[in-house]
Amino acid sequence: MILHILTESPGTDTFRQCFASISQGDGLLLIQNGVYMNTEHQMFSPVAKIFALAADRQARGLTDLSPEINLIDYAEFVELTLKYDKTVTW
Amino acid sequence: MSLPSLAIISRHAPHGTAHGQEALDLALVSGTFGQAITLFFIGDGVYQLLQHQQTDMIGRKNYSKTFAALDFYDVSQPVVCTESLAQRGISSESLCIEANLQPPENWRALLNNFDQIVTF
Amino acid sequence: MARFSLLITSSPVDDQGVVTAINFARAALAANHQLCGIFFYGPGTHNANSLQLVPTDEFQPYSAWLELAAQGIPLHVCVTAAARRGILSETEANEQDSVSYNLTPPFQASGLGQFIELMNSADRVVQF
Repeated sequence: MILHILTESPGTDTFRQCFASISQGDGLLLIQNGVYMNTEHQMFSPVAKIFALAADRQARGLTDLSPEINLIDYAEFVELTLKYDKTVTW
Repeated sequence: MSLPSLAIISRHAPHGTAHGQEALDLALVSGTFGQAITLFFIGDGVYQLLQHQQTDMIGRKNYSKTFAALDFYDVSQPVVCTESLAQRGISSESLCIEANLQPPENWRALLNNFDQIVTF
Repeated sequence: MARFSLLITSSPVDDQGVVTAINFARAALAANHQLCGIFFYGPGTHNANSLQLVPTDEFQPYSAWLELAAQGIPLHVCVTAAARRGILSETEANEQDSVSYNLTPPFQASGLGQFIELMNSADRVVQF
């Protein structure tokens, strides 16, 4: 199982590539511009658990959060990479 | 001890940026170290595999010629996302090498088999 | 305790990736994990340029890397990718008859083989 770390916003080619690569049971961590994603942007039925780096959302003035997205800090980011077998950064 | 396998995802068009060339450099070096290595192409990355690239006029290296030599460097056949090809109107005949063409569901299943994944 | 290696392909100025990487590295060390090393490749080699001048009220990526190095974390730079970008060690500068160089310790000029080694010695590789 892969932790997909998405750094770009919905609407980018990167975003589409990331979603095309997610398998059942993978995790999706939104960081940097990736945090602009809210679940209404999700193009596929939810297969992955979704996390977002709280600091990156706060920095961008984002307050509305879908209940499916779990906010995490850096310490949890580190632990999350260990919960999955490997990571890929998009 | 067997070395962990490495998937290198190449997802940018050639020449406009150096991403594709630096992904290929990493693949070639890893191959010579005996690492099990596979290049994965998705999105605009598939443009790297087009035939008939001529870069003399733009001062960029025509590294598309190197794809034919991957085997020589012990790098396995690249995996290419067929959805990315279809979205861009590219047929498999217009590719410069014989690739392992896979729809997204197989593409991501293959990716899951690797120990480490890097993207360029 | 887990072993991490980081691959840095983000430029210190043009992307947020470097700040994220440094925060990740600090959090990993704070949780008593081990950092086997950090490898700089592609645009990430700009991090090794010692001549970066960032306004004093902004985040200082170069000093942040030095602080990690002071904790014993090796900083390896792909020599080929760096040289293309005008980032030279003293050795290369001498070979090329260049009067100046800007890749200085604790950053080390390395080859891609070093990345393979870092990758193989880590439980997780995270790219920024």
